[in-house]
Amino acid sequence: MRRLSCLVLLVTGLLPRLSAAEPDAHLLAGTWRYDATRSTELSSWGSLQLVIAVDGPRVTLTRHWTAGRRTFDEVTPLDLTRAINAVPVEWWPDNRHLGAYIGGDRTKRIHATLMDGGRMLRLSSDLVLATQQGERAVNILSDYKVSANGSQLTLIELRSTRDEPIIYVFRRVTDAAADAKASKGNAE
Amino acid sequence: MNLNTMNAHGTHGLHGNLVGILPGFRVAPDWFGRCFILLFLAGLVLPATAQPIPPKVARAPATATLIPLSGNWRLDGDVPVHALLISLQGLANRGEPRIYLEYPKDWQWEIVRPLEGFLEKRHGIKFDRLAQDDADAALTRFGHFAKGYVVWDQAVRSSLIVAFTISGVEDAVVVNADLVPLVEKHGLKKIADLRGQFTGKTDAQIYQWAYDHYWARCSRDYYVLLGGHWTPEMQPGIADFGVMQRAFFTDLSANPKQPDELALERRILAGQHPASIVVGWHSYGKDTEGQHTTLVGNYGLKMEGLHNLPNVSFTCQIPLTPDFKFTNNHHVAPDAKLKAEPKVYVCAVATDSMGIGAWTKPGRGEIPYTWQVTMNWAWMNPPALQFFYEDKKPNDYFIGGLSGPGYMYPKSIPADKFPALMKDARALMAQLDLRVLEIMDYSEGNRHVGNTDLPKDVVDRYYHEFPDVIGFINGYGTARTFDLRDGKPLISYDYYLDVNRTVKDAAADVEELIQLNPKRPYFLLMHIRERNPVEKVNAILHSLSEPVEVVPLDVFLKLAADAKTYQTHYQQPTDPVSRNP
Repeated sequence: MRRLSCLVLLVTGLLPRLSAAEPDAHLLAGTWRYDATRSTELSSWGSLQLVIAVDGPRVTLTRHWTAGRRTFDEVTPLDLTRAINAVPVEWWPDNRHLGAYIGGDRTKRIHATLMDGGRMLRLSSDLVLATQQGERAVNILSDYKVSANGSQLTLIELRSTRDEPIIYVFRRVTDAAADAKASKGNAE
Repeated sequence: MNLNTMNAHGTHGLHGNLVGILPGFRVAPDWFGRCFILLFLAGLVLPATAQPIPPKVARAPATATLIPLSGNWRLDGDVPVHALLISLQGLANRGEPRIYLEYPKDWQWEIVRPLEGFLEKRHGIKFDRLAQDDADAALTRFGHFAKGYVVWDQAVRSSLIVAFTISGVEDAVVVNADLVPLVEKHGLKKIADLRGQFTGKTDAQIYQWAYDHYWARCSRDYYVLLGGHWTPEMQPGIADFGVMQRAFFTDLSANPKQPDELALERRILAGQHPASIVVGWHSYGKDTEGQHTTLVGNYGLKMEGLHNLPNVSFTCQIPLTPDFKFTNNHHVAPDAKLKAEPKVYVCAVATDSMGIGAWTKPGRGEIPYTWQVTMNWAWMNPPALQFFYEDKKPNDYFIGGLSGPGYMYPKSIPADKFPALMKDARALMAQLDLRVLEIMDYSEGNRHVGNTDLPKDVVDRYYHEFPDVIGFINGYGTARTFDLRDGKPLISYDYYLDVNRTVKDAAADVEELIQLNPKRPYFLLMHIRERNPVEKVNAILHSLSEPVEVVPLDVFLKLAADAKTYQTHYQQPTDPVSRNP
């Protein structure tokens, strides 16, 4: 009887997770502020805030770029149960200091995988960038990893066209007011 | 009007002389006289398009007074005494350069101090130095150039800007209440007192009052936008020139969120002479550079920064030394044809004015480097340009900018106002021995958002107006407008080097661009943000895994004319637009 009770409890406790066999990205959820001292410089932006919203298997990444009074929000909705998420790209905010612009059909095709017990989100994104010489297919491998205590998120990006990784370190925002006062960088 | 009568009494002798100096030119005297008078009247009616140039003295003065200024630019600090000295400088320098202000070492225009030595050594000026901020000694020497004083209200920032307008038209020095005893000690009488005049009023109301009372007596060739640093500071370095020219001063906003200010600003700009100049800068507290430069362009006027550009009332009168001529380091003849090889060609360009850039920083001369010349300095600051041209090294190459005779955005300029402006640009380029024009347009974006590209019709205009250039470059941040016509390329920046970008990251950027553009030759045009030293750029280029060839811009353009590996591209209707809010 005792064994049966334990089994019932175990099964019912696991039900919410097992019912959909859903990946759980809640460890990544939250608002994250770019730490300039530990990251690749943001050219041409002054600051970056990352908001990760988790709703079951749906994860929404919002990158809030600022430079002085200029801002841009890039929203990337993902469904972790789908093999490929096709996300429209208005324009490519990364590295506006490079002569490379969103091209092709202005869509990013993303394969998203939750790994390591939900501590890490890996995106493999295929897009087309347009340059002065024409269009070029590019793959971007992006690993979002949360630290053991949950206070830090590290994003390592490997672009197929770039020999060096781009590393952005974020700190979890626990004080929204303080974050609002944080430097947003300059713009001429 | 009886033309025959005027001809007989007013111009007969003159047209007779003209006929005399044109051998074989035979026309009926009466016909010639009518034509001459019509041309004369047309000259009175039609606005002149060329910017009037302040007269220069025959040669630089043997002596001038130098007054050092402190580094305190707070309105509640040393701005009151600085404002007094700057207004006095503007009045005393009318007719002859007499006062040179030595701005602090950290002043944005770092050229101030090198120029001081250059004026001594090359122009033979012996400076008589007063003590720092010594207004008493300055008034003893130059107080007689003022007819009185105007008091600004320490509690109302904009009253100081209005006071500069009054200073110019009434020949008054500018003081706050604390400085009244000093100027009265020197026998000056009160001409205007703004204390309490503007209490509780908006800037739109304050400048409307100034407009109603003084605008009619102000210059139509110069208008001063005394913005820039916001409260609690003010850096009115350009005000001496505005006072000298009896200009109208404001720091009105071009921001649609301040419609009353914008409406008055529009009215003022519309009242200035065609193709005339707006000196100074937009207010950092009210609007953006993109908004205000766009607005100035809408009226076919030229913008020339900044608000803190110093000593123009002095430098605009200093002629070039008789033995000097503007000579660029051209590497190719205008009609030369070069053969491009299958390699990566890199050209580094510094803009942001040489006076605030990397000219005096380490590394200059190590690699071919291109510098954008602030072309209006040909008349605003000839000795500074002479300094740069004489100080250049074989690897330094000069180009014209930005977009025309001043700082302007071509997309914001009405098509019918474009030719008059570009005529002035051509004249300046010829004077300064420049063969390449740099274009920049922030009217629909910037290096962060929107776009900085040119539609085809604007590109058409540039090719039409500048038949003698060897090419154009475009952008500030990166842009994607590319063209090639009649052997003259238009190439946009493919890379923008931020001041904070490390050598390692920048090298990775450049290598990525080389990966993204696999055809050879690849033409990589780099814009180097103001304070980046040449030695940093050299370090970046020397740390690449693939060798590149660094060339000056004239060679770069000639090579780009030979092998068009870039695709013709103009601004597209679908490109993002941001009006720089």
